[in-house]
Amino acid sequence: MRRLSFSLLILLALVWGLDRAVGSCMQKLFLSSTSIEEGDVLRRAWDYRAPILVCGSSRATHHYVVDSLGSILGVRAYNLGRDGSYGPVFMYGVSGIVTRHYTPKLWIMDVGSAIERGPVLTGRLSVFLPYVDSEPVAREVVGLRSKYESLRLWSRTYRYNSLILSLLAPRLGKPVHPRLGFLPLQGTYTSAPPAVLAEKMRVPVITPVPIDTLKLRYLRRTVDLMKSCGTTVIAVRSPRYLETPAEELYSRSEGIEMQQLFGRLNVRVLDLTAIRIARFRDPRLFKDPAHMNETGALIFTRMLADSIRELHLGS
Amino acid sequence: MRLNSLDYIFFLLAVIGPFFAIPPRHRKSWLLVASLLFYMYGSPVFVLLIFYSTTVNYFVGRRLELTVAGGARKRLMVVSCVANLGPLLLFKYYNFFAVSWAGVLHAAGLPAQPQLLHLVLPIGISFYTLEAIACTADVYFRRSPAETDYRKLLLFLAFFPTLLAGPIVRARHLIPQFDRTSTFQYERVREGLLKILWGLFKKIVIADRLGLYVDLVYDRPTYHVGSTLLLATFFFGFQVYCDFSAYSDIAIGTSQILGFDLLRNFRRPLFASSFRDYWTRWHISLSTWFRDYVYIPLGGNRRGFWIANLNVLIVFLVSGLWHGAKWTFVLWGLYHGLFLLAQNLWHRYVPAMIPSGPAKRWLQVAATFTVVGLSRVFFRASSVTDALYIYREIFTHFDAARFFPGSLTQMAYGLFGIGVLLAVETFTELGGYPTLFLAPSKPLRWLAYAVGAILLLLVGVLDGGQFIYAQF
Repeated sequence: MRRLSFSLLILLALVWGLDRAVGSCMQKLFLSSTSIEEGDVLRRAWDYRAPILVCGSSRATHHYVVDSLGSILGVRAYNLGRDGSYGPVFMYGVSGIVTRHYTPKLWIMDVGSAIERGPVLTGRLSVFLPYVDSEPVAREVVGLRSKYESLRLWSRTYRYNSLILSLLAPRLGKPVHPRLGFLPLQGTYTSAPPAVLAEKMRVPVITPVPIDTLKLRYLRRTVDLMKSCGTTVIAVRSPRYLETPAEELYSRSEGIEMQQLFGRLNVRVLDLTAIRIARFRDPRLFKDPAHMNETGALIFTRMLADSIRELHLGS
Repeated sequence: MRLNSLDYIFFLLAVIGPFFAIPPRHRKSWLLVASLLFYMYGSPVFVLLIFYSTTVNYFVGRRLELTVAGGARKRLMVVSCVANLGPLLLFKYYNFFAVSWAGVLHAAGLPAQPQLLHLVLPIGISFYTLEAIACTADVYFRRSPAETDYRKLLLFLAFFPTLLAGPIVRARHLIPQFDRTSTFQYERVREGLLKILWGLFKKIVIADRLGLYVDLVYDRPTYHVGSTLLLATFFFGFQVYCDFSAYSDIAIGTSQILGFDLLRNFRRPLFASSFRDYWTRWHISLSTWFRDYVYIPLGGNRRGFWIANLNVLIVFLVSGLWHGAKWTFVLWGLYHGLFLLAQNLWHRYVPAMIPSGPAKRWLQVAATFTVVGLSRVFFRASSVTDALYIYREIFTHFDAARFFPGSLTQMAYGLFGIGVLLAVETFTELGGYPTLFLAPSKPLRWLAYAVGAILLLLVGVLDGGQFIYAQF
């Protein structure tokens, strides 16, 4: 037993030393990074100080051509969307951090995918890990990941979990993304085969699962926080390719639900889905049923810019 | 409680300390309490099923031992099987059979509205049910005496390291070890801890990382072309291997620390040179269970070539269904059964064309790896429609130009994990020591421990979910 205790102590000391060394190197890499990389998106956003910010998950990343939006409206815009299912808790974390550095004028939330049903995917909140020492909101949000999060944060390396390649790749010649958080998708969608479509037809029209209460709570907190800073908040439903009547019915009912939900929060909803805009029934504008390609994204962004201008939201 | 969680680490520390501190005569009771608490951590009520199973097998086993007449023994064995399989059929298969039967009626033009049950599947039920059946069957086949100590039988079925996802232990192997007075041995504990560390590495760094890409593709297969689906399928092969073998490593390592030896569950299946070889390397405790308690009782190979192959097919169909109450699993079993049958026919009727040697062996390894890998479409797909779509896309619409790499960094982490695994397994297969954790050089060993721990923190997916097989 004594031998094992001694060995474990040595191992702990070795791991602790290595953890500090690796953690420090990672921190240096992170702070000296000069490109838009995973985990570094937030710092870039507050450095850019764009009056218009877009937030959401993959559909935000791929649908909002913020450089075009910015040039149409004559103000800078930045896309804080992230590939994957990022919902209201992510939005709350982002809004909490951004508003500590400056106050944006317009906060656009891509909703639908953002208010996905089911529990909060806490794994996604790792994006806030590098900020836990400097941003109180980041620490609060990261705490939702696990009851042992404070224990994990003893490690300096853990703060940069899964970031090593993202931080090293630009230094090894990976081109820097130039589009202010927007990631264009290429290619067009070819319709699903008949057997799969038949399966999709059988999908229930309305999902009976209610929206997670934690998500609703954080959605309200996000809206309250942004409004308290004087930022205008809008929710946007961006298009999906609707393949079956069942999906169309679902989209309609979800639209009504979103109007009710955001109505209670006094947030205007801009519905730019195929239900409202017939042009988005064209499969050539999509990469897959959930995401538009760059052509579709440009058309969508122009329509969004027109709506914002009509409503005098961007000024 | 997940074996890859900090909860489990704390639980283990809380169990091990007192286990070695208390007098040996109390260790069984301590382990029993710990095992029951472990099982009750998730849903306490299901612990009653373990008591039920223990009680049934305790009394049937003792009765079997006292019974001489063949007919009466057979009836007792049937009672045991029905009693053991009853809860499994109810919790796991009722809805499957109800829906399938309704489908048959519907196809025949008859009205059918299946009455479905909304039951939660008790975790680990598929595993301890097989252990319980084997326990009584061993008494029936006179391989071992009936257990006379209820507490030991309960501990055997509830033994926490293997409770959720095996390895499927035999009573005659584990129960005698409960009476052994194990002392704290540094080497044993060290080896156990290293197995746990390697298991965690495989689960957290490799399996859960690959799972991110696999889930992305398999959750919406119709969004993807054949090249993407093929890569996701092969990634899933590595994922499921790392995930399941990780569980086995952690279970075996935990048992080793406590002084119990479990049989190995995997023997580098990536290097299997045939289907038959594959099943002697993959989930060994399950394949030997099916061999001993289904294949041999059906007649094994004692009734000629064709009956033996029919038995093989039956075994694989049942094994497929054991994995999950879905037609995809049945088809997965059928796929393996048919390929094994084809291999048997080939060996019987086609003379060897290529001389034996390393080249032939590696060719066979590559072929087995590919064919087994492709079988996993059925294993992972959500429905038969999805599985058939995926096969069609892979073979008719490969379209490498539209390959979806997902996040390139995620892909790179995944490939790094596969690289580490292949390096370790190849080195071991060629006769080296298993993993750097057991390297002869002490500094190298210690460096490997520390780097392993740092890699868990740096590139591990620390929010990964439950082990795949623990969901069966």
